[in-house]
Amino acid sequence: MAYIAGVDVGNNTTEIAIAEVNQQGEASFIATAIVRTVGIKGTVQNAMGVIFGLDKALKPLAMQRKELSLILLNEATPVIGDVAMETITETVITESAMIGHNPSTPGGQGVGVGTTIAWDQIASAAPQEKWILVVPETVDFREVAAGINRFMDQGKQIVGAIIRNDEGVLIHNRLVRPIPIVDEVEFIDRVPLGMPAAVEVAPLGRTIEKLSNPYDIATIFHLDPDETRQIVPIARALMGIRSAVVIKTPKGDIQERRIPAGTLVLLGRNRKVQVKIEEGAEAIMARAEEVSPLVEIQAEAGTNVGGMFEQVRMVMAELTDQPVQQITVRDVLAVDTFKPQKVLGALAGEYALGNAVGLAAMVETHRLPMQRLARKIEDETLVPCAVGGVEAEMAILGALTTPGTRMPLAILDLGGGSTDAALISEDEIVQSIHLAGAGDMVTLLIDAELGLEDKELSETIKCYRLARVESLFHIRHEDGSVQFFEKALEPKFFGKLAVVTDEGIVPLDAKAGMEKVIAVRRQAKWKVFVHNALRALRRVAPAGNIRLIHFVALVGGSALDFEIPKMVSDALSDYGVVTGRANIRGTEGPRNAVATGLVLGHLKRGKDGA
Amino acid sequence: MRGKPAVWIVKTRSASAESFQPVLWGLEEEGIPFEVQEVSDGPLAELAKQAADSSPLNVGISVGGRGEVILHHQDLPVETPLFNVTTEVGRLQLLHLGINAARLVKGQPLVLGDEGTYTAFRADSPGESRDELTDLVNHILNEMRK
Repeated sequence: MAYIAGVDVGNNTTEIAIAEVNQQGEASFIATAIVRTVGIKGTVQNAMGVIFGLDKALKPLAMQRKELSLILLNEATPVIGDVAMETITETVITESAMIGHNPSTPGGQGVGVGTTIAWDQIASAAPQEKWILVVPETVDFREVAAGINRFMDQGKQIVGAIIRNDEGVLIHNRLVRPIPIVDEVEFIDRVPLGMPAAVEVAPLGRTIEKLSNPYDIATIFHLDPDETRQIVPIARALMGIRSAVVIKTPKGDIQERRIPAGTLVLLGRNRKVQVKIEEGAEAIMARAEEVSPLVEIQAEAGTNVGGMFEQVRMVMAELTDQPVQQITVRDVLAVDTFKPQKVLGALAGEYALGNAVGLAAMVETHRLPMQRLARKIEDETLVPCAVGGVEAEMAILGALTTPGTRMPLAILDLGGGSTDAALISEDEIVQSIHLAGAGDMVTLLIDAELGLEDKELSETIKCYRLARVESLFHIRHEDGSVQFFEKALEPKFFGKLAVVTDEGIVPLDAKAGMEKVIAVRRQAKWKVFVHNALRALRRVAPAGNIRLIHFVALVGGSALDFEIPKMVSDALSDYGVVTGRANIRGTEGPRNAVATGLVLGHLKRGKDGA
Repeated sequence: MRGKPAVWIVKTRSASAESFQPVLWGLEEEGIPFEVQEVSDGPLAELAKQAADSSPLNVGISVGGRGEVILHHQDLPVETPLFNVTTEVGRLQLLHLGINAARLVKGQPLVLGDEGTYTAFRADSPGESRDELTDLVNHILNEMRK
């Protein structure tokens, strides 16, 4: 009787399978464990995680490490990936000209067009002109309301107000003749005075109509066609909100400009093309397809992407003890995305959506120094340790233990750093491919599009469903179901969006509504995983035809996601492919494929040899 | 007892009408109606709770003669009102209390002391400190993993 352990060191997790092998060389699996990988995959630091994992698996068996007769280590695929973001458009306002924001309670409704005037100047204002009052926070709302009423009585025309405090409704309620009032304007002292301006407040439940339409702005301010072109970014930024101010300044200049973001050089086996990143993801991926199969990708130095490429190559060089010149970026995934950016010179902290391209890169080298790690584990555990077989083949062997599968079978390994595919044909020939872009890329996209700048929170949003805290005692999940709590929730959660994690609910301060967050989350997953699943399967499929693959099993951490497997299987059902999450050994779900395959592969080799 | 939809506010006879005016403004700015009633005297938390129970909007406020302002909700036990402040916190905080009473009705996120001085938040909540500790430990663990 022998005990063999299969150990799969991955980017994020280390998985263990322990099998008891009988005289006939048949394995029965008796324990499984999963722990976090210590250090970067392929380094000797991994040994700590491996030993911890072995102990965790052996504990319920009441066994010692020394009772093992062999530890099998995966021939880890020498692939690492990284992600970066390049913003390719930005909105620049050289002189503040707009206030578009959503105070929760503006006052009045309608559109007012006039000239901006400071509160303390209104007494001397000319009666025949139309005025828009600018009120600082020091003035009490009762004074403002009484003042406006008095001035209007004197025949002065006040057609709108821009105020600092959250008192729009309070002023409105005290006016004889109501005017639109935009409140909570943070930088009230920066509002240009003596300039033509328009104030618009939409009725409850509606959004502004005039100031979000370039031609209406042109009508109000008598703009010529060239000037109208210039204000398009303003109109776009003001869409979908309830109140806004647009001020025309003499030198006011608003531009949407494209930022040169550098160039990628795509080297194929026979051809070489250059593509500018600001052309967008679609162009990049189309060019990459043209030169396919890709051999190497180079990025212009001094750009974000250049820096990212340098970073991954250096990490890999360090890992493998090779000179950095020998490390090349083998694959890249580009995805179009949006990034909310603070408008320069804004008056109420406005954002405009800039276009951006998210890029994932992957480097591949010949071999990770797993042998070194094996020796280290041997030294520590005093159990023989061998590097046993190519990762993709082992994963397939493991995946084949899923009930209901048979050869030919393809697996899609949806991981954190890369998306891998492998196909085993009926005559047991394995083809495999590694592509850039996976879970980490999804996190990056969520982070960018929601403007969170908090990777940990973005990761949480990726992994769990949303809910809204509707009262002190209940939340409504994103599917509409309601959950009650015995104890009152924290007041700081009240009315907010929250992510429902296993540990409890995490409030979300995103300005976006629930539908928006869900849409961003789903699109990010779709753009990365569906796109990559098809790209990867095409590479391993016979004649590049996905229809010729009959069974696809999903493995890896992202296969545990609550919506990715459905997205991938929906996309693949168009090709008539049976897709599902693997269930390794009928018990492990999509986990432990490689660890299981290592043990099975070892025994198979033993039999074939005998 | 249930009348028109409004947040019920109970003031004791000794409380001045001026003292809690900003609370009413907060409610008005948010567009939520309120009803003010005067009672002779009584334990303020219970008065606030009774007001909340009687309010068709389930939110009640009590104001005492020594400037106590208590915000209560029908679903909360009488001994744990949502906010418990005094008028000494100043105009802005009282305004926020009124806004929060309204937002409680509307189901919108509350305004909570980003000024750092808002004492209305339940400081004695045991959940709070434990959460912070957990967050800290997690943060350190994550840093170590990097």
